[in-house]
Amino acid sequence: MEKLRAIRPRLQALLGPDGVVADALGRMLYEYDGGVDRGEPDLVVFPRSPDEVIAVLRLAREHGLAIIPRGAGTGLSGGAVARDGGIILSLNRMRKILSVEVENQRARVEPGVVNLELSERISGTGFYFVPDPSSQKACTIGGNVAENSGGPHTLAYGVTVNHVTGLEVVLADGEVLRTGGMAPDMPGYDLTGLMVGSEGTLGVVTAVTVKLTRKPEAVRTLLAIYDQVDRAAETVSAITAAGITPAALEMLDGFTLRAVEAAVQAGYPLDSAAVLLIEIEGLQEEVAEHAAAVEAVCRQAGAREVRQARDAAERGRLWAGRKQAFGAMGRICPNFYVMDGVIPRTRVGPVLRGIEAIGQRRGLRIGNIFHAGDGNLHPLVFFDGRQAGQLELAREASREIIQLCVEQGGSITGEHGVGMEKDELMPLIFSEADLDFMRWLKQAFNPEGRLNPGKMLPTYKSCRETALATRPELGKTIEARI
Amino acid sequence: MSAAAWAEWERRLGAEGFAWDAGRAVARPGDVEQTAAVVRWAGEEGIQIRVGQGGGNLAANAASPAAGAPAAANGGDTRGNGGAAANGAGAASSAVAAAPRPVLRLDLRRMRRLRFYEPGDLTAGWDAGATVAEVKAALAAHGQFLPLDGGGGAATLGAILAARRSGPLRHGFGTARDFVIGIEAVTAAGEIVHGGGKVVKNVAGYDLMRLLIGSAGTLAVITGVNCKVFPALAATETIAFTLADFAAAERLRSRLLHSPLRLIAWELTDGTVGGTGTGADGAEGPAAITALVRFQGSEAVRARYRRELAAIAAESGVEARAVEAEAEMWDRWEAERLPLAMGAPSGVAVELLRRTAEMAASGGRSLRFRGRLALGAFGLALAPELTGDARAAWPREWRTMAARVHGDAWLQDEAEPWYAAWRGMGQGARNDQAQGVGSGAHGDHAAGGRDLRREGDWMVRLKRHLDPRGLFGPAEAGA
Ligand SMILES: Cc1cc2nc3c(=O)[nH]c(=O)nc-3n(C[C@H](O)[C@H](O)[C@H](O)COP(=O)(O)OP(=O)(O)OC[C@H]3O[C@@H](n4cnc5c(N)ncnc54)[C@H](O)[C@@H]3O)c2cc1C
Ligand SMILES: Cc1cc2nc3c(=O)[nH]c(=O)nc-3n(C[C@H](O)[C@H](O)[C@H](O)COP(=O)(O)OP(=O)(O)OC[C@H]3O[C@@H](n4cnc5c(N)ncnc54)[C@H](O)[C@@H]3O)c2cc1C
Repeated sequence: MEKLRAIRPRLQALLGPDGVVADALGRMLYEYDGGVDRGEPDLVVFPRSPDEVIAVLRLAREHGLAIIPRGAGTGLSGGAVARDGGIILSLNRMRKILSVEVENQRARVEPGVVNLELSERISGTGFYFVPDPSSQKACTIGGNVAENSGGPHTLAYGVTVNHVTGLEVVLADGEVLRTGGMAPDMPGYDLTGLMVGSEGTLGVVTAVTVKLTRKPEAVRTLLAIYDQVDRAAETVSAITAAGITPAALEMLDGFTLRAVEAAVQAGYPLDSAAVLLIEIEGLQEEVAEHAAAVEAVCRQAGAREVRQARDAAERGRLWAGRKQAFGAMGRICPNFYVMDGVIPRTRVGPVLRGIEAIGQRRGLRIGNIFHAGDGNLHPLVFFDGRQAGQLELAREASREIIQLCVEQGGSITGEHGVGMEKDELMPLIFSEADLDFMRWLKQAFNPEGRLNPGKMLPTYKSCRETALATRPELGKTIEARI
Repeated sequence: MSAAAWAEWERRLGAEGFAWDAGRAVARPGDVEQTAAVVRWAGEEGIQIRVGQGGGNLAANAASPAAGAPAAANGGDTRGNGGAAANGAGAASSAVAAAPRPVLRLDLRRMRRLRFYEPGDLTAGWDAGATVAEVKAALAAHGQFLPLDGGGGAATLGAILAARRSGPLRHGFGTARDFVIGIEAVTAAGEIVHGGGKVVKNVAGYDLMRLLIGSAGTLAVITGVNCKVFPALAATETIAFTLADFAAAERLRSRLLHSPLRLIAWELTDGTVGGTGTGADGAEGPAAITALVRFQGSEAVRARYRRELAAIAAESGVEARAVEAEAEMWDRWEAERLPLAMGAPSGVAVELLRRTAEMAASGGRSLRFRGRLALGAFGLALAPELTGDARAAWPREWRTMAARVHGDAWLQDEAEPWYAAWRGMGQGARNDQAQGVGSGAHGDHAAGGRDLRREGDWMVRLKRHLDPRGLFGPAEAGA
């Protein structure tokens, strides 16, 4: 605490009295993000410029304190949580859109710009920023970059990394590194691509150059309604196999859609076992053809009914159900744990059945609402945090679900990141050599490990053994993975 | 290295695994474990490894100890430069200072297994030695494909990735950086490492795919590649616009950018390269700046494209024609290898091409080009080719000129050492306020008095960190 007493006045002098939060109550607000992990920061600071970020990093280095970058705190893997104390560096006051260059199809923004704000601001140009996490009204572009976030519409157009061409990053020692830029395909190592998805462990992003994409001429939204979950799952592979790439292909199971419907009135039929929300974009002619083809595939796979949204209002309602689902869930159960796992798109059916079995075995209710088109599952594990042991039970079920995904050839996270939630699960998909190489890579940028410590990479060498001790057959999965 | 020492290698790797090729030692491992063993032995014995066939000469350059000196910047490596003959005079080796570290070429073409293929999930994985032709054939059998149209069918997947090669379909489908979902590689320490996996969406761990794609064999040996693949193209058509000058090309670019059309390829050429104009599709007349756009879909969809494109041509007063046998033309499109590559933000790229042509003309040469109009990435060649000191000086002159157009413009000359373009890219200008047409637009974030590390410096630093002994070529001259 000696360190804290020494650094505090210096930070206050640098950032002003409202730029530093040190009181217990204030710090408590920063103990968590959108997930279930907790950790108490020693200080929270709010720089306004890259220069202030640099100064904060230099001070932190001098005093040997950890830095945890933070955007809006909507992350679901504890990435922005101070796992073991340290200074939370909030980028919330850096929210200028620095430039919009439509002819270059680029914009340059500060990291605290809220995702949706950018697309809204440039809406008049006919262009937009593609990545659309369901949290887009709140999450920041800096957070999107750090997590390499996806969203319903990243199925056809790619996730954040496919839409970022350059970064300005402040490294652990306070030095600035600019990677990439406005030009395409810049030669050399793709440091931009390496930084994206690095979860704040390689540097603090202080500016982002993003790609802007032309809005589609036509959009059509379909709701396919099923009496059996399996049929909906089969439709997902059938659409993929038919060679149609919808802009979005989302699934809600019966339990989830009923909960959503009660809160949002999106228009999902209450008696159905599952719905698929499918969006087709492109030229009018193309959209008409693809919508007809998708409708035929849905019916063939056993959809009870396929509706097409008649107008923008109906479309908006259908999507409101999807995008506000997590909020709606809060009404039916005090707590729920949002999982994130990935499987090949051909395995949706069996994995959903497996998840249901896990829930039954553990006596937990599990709902599913997810990006079916890219096999990115989001099981929602419901629990009552007021009852002792329930959170632990939910975590155990979640771990089992992740193991199921891995056994099916999938991954432990599709978009929420590893953070402090899953660092110990990394050995399920990576060998010790893989992890050592990643640690060594991190060393190059963050040699003292003071940037977002305890995240993404497991700290303990033995963790592979721990994980494998419970499921020895996973050793084979790792070997067979690639 | 003594014959006896190489004989030991031959013994270890067996008849299939070791060969002499025009007096040079070549290891031909049969699997990833053997590749790792080769890398470890080479490390122990102080041998340098050059991955690939030497066709793309990035690695050959990395091995050239004198390459950093401007006067010798055109120096490839006499021993390994398979591309030299094809590159013309420019890449002929001159001063290669003596630094006789033995070199072992690593040829992965025995490793060409299809590792997995899930047509229903649109995912597949191969050993890195699989050739483009083999990859295409495997996918075609299931009506699927990868946009690997940036080189011949004989190139290996590993080489395409390492050289981050892409072709016209990059416009509609992205580069390998966008479709590679998992990678396996052997590091300088001889360890087998993985990134990503087999699924199309995955954010676990650092993105080793992105790190290694474009690393030109200088960081690790790519041994396995998993890809997200695509449904085969539907019926395609191509329309060519003949343009009077660069200004007309820029107007067309901007006009199309703001249209709702979703083209799968969108090229610009000076007409002497690519296979249009006086070229392969048989059209008559002198070479002219030509834009080509390609689209796919049902007859109704294609009719819409034809209508829109005809209207745009009429409104812009340019001549448009349908290209006959367009698929064949696209197959030949990248056949001619251009020694220079440039990139600039799309809105200033045509202006930069114009100034490049002017620069060439002032030296009595014409500029030949072919590339992605909508993206701003082009291959270039001067006709006739520059040689000697003039060739070595040209990239530097270009970078000075280009910095005035846009701070982010870049040039890569295959005759330069691998790090030259990155160094060049970071050369001061980049972070200054750019003058001339595009604005550098660093605005509020101008470098000021900050301790700004240039990206090129960082790449060299990262190279040293991951390959401290220079096993895959030195980090730079004298390193
Ligand atoms: C209701 C809800 C719906 C969601 N839907 C989706 C979805 O559809 N798709 C999806 O991918 N995610 C989704 N998420 C997760 C989350 O919104 C995303 O991960 C988002 O990108 C996080 O942004 P943030 O600004 O909140 O970042 P934070 O949570 O504050 O931080 C996330 C991580 O980024 C790091 N970080 C933040 N800013 C910087 C910076 N400037 N430099 C370096 N590191 C930084 C932090 O250290 C942390 O590791 C959802 C979350 C919620 C609550
Ligand atoms: C500036 C420039 C312009 C070019 N323009 C054209 C063009 O217009 N048309 C065209 O067809 N080609 C062009 N090329 C070459 C093209 O990139 C390569 O020819 C192509 O990638 C196929 O490789 P190869 O078989 O010739 O090369 P190789 O020599 O085998 O490999 C190419 C590069 O990749 C590395 N490499 C190969 N395999 C691996 C591996 N498994 N792991 C790690 N590294 C590996 C090599 O070390 C080398 O640096 C250009 C290259 C450059 C540098």
